[in-house]
Amino acid sequence: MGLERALPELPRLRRYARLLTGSRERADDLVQDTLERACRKWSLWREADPTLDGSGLRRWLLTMMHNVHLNHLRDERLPLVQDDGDVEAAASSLDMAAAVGARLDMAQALAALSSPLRDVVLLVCVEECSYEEAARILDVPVGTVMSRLSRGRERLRALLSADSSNLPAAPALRVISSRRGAHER
Amino acid sequence: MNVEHHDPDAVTEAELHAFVDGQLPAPRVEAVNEWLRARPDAAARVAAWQAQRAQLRALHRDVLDEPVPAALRASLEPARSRARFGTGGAARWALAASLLGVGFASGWAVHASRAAEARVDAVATAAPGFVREARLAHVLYTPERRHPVEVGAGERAHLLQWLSKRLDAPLAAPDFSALGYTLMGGRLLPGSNGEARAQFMFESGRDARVTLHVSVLAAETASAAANGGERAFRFATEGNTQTFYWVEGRFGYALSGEVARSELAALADSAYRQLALSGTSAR
Repeated sequence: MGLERALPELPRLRRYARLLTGSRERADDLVQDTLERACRKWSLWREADPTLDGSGLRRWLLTMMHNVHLNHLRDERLPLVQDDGDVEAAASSLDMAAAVGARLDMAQALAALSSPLRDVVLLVCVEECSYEEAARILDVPVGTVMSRLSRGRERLRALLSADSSNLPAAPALRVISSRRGAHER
Repeated sequence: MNVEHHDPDAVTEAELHAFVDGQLPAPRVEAVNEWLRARPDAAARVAAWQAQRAQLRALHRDVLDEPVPAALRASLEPARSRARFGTGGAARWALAASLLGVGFASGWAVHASRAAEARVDAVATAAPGFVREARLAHVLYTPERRHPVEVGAGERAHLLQWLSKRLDAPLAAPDFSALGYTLMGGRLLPGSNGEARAQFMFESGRDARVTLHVSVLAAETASAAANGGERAFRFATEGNTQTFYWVEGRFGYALSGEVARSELAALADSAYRQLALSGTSAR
């Protein structure tokens, strides 16, 4: 059996890529490269996970898309944020606009997020991944997912509020990763 | 936010996120609600997160309804993937022409090589989204003893009128009495993107139940299906549940059951003829 069963997933993958890249052209490039990679890896995945259920396939494709996206960013030498400590330092021009009090819409605010925060927010909110699934897709610990989610949401809240320059920095809410059960369902 | 670590009722930051994302275990939901009622600041933050979530999910939703560029579809074509199914395209391979064709192909597959079985599998797994929805609904509702349907066959006219209105298309329920099945009734279901779907359930004297799931497809999906030869019957099987599905005009039909394939095929054929004859108009 072949990867053509991924056909029904294409509209969702395209939207996801659009959200991830913020541009129509880059989005379809990303989907194209993801599918080509998926075709090469397909037989491996089938062996690793013979259950082949639809949501499993989507998660697998999302994992691949994130890896390809990371490669694209590297190739373009866009500022890469690998370490959580760098997240706040990676300011974009939109970030600057927000800093002077311009009101952003959601698409702009999303684009203003650093890539690690955006990834988590999108996986959880749009693709409805559980926190564990998001952690697996991004290959980070669940605690990292939770802290990025928290910071991503607070960042969006600040960016979307009318006058973000006057907002005090969002209070650093504590993520209690020692209580793993709380978010691991 | 004053979260006391040792307080068993304390609501953690992680729980607030899980609350927003629908990932909080049910017993905690009310506790979080109550906790938030006493804390307007936290409640405002949670409300903002909920609004973000809704906005994010609405963003670029239009992409979902766009035709997928041919170049992207092509990258999944069998010729470019590891598996090869010949020039006709995997999904169009067999089972296409008629029920006779299906009977032939499936009977043949049993005796044929593993490669041929893989082809039948490929057809099955390439089933479009509405077929998956149909199968999920079938498996969920047919074991139901007390509430298998929302509106019973006793209110047939109302049932058809109601479902037609909600799907915004004239629906008809086939009559399977000649094949020993009677209509039990139907229900309204959500599609994977929140569209309205209809399910009709039928029962035989032997307690076997089959469901006919009706989707009104987006014009793009329906025409793609027609180009892909889905005017014909297709067959999919998963576990014990078998499904015949076909696309007629804007409608996607999926007939599912745990009965013998030949019996299901006869039902599908009957449904197809009746619905095609009725022009899918309500009766």
